Amino acid sequence: MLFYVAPMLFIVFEYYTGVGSNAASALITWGIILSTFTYLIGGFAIFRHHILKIANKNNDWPYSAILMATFASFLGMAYLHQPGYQWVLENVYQPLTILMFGFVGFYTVTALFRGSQVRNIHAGVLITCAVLLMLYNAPVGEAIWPGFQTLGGWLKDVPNTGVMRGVVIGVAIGVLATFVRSLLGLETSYLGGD
Amino acid sequence: MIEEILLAVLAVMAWSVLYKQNPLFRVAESMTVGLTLAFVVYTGIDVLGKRVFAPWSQGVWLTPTTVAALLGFMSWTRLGPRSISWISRWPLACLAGIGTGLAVKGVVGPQILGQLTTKSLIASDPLTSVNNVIIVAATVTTLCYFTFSYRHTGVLGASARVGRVFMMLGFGATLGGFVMTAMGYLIGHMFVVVKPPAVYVVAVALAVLGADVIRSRRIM
Amino acid sequence: MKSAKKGPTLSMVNQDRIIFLLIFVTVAVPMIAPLGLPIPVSPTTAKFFDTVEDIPEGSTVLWCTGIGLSIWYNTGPGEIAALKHIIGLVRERGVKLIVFAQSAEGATIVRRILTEYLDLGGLTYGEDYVDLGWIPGGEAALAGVVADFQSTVETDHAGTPASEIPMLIEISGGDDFDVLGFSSGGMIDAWMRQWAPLKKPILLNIIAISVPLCMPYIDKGMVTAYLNGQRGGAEYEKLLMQPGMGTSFIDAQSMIHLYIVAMIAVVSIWSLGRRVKGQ
Repeated sequence: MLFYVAPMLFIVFEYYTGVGSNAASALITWGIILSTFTYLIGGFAIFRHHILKIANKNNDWPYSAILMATFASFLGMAYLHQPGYQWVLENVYQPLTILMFGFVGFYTVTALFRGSQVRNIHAGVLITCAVLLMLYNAPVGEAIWPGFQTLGGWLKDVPNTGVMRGVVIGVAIGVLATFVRSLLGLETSYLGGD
Repeated sequence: MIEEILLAVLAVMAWSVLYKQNPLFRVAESMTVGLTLAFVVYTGIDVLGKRVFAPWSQGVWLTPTTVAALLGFMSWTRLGPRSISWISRWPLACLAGIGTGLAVKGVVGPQILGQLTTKSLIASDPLTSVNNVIIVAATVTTLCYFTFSYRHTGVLGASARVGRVFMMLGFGATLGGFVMTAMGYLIGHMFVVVKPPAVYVVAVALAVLGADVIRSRRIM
Repeated sequence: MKSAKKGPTLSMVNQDRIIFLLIFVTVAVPMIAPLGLPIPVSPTTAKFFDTVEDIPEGSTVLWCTGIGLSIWYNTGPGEIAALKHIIGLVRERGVKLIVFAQSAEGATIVRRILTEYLDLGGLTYGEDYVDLGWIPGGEAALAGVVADFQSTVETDHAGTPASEIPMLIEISGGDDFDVLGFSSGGMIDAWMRQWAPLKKPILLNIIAISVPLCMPYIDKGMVTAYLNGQRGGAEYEKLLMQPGMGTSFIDAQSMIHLYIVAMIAVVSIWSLGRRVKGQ
């Protein structure tokens, strides 16, 4: 708990009193370095999972082998042949990353197809507002009727702002509640699932 | 030209799952994870090299970076057996504490006090006044909806029900923006894929897909 | 007893396949044959343009690329256009530009924009602009850059020590920056917590889904101006009179939006009709 509470309290103390700026800067540097180490933990965990899968010849192990082969060749290129690494980064890695996110677009449309069967007033309000904002965002909406810009803009700037302001305040209160809980020793989520 | 054909091949492999699960998609998926893993490892080691190992190689040891690096190496025990993985709790707790401290120091100003002030409810323009009243009403009723310490009855209950309607407006606005974002993912690559030479790859893929549809209908 | 005559029904899988095919066609047609639909400039993009245009001579601009590769096509057009505009001011008015990324992927995006999309001729790296690469740490990086710049930024993207880069030597923290800007693919709470208290002009390039979520900060003036996703990027290209990715994509965005609105309308009317008939 000391490792959790002490840096947290010190950063807040320094912000409101101005005392100990150098130490607070050092803590921020700790955060930057530590986050890099933890960034690698995830990578190593996935690496270990797939190596074990190949070794034990578990279900779908050939795909894990492809994964490891891709990993090894890309990492090897990064250290041995930078131009090749850059080429693969721009022409294979980036397209594949975007393509895998491309499913979001397709499944959004199917979700809207099924979700737009209005069953009650709340769903009707949600769908109507969504349609108006779609026509606000798309330039063709303004070409069809300039009122979509006015109406969509009003929905975004007035009722939506009020709602999101409530959400932001709620989230902020949650952060403060976490702060108080950790001071009281009630917050243990940072210990993981142990 | 080769890049465009390669993009078309990758697009066909990745999006073939929209038709049905198949080995080509699994290969694309595995490649994506493998490339991402290599990217993570390479960039992570690169940053550590610049920020940690380079100063050490120059004999600079007594810095906050050294302490952080030692904590970082301790965090890697998380990958080890239970007999040593408990050591990783200290650096991870430290990281969580730093993150929470940074969040708490900045939350009071912009996220609470800054949001609690409101523009004049009696403005010179009546429409502005109405808008400001609506914003305040939406904020208050949304907060009422998320107040779970009391039962939603009476005034609180009525406010929560009004808040729910306001929230549908807010989430509808978010959903409207979601469409532009979601479509943006696929529009970028379509720009290349529908033009030669990539379109030839797509044409072949569509022909194979059509043949599979006809074949599965015959089987049925 | 006669059984009710039922028409052919489509399984959910086949319904999805038809929807996907229609999506492809709707997006592909304007790509093959551009419709040339007008791109009206919204007040929000105009305000972003004017805010950048009003950056005083000799100012220092700090730009944080907080996006990953996956949303390159969403915020990339706006990112490129904004940095093109700022680089123009670097050339005209001696503005200084410092760019850094919040993720490793963001660092590759910054490198790509600087090397492929911007005209840096006549400018000196390290004196007019600098690329700090990826500063890890998330919110810690954002806090560190404005609280203690020299401790947080030890090298640039290539590993050159910050002490050897002329334009970074005098920078200590947030007070040394005149304009802050960033792009993001999600919530902007971290930036607001760390940068809003500085009371500097803040520019934001954000995906369309996050605009409603950011309105509390925009409404309060903590964010001075913002670009609304792909549309904002296309509008910005129009204002700069340099059409690019955003302009190429916007026709397809319009068509797919119309398709989805029509689909929702048909399904909603159909389901309401069923409810009225009591089915």
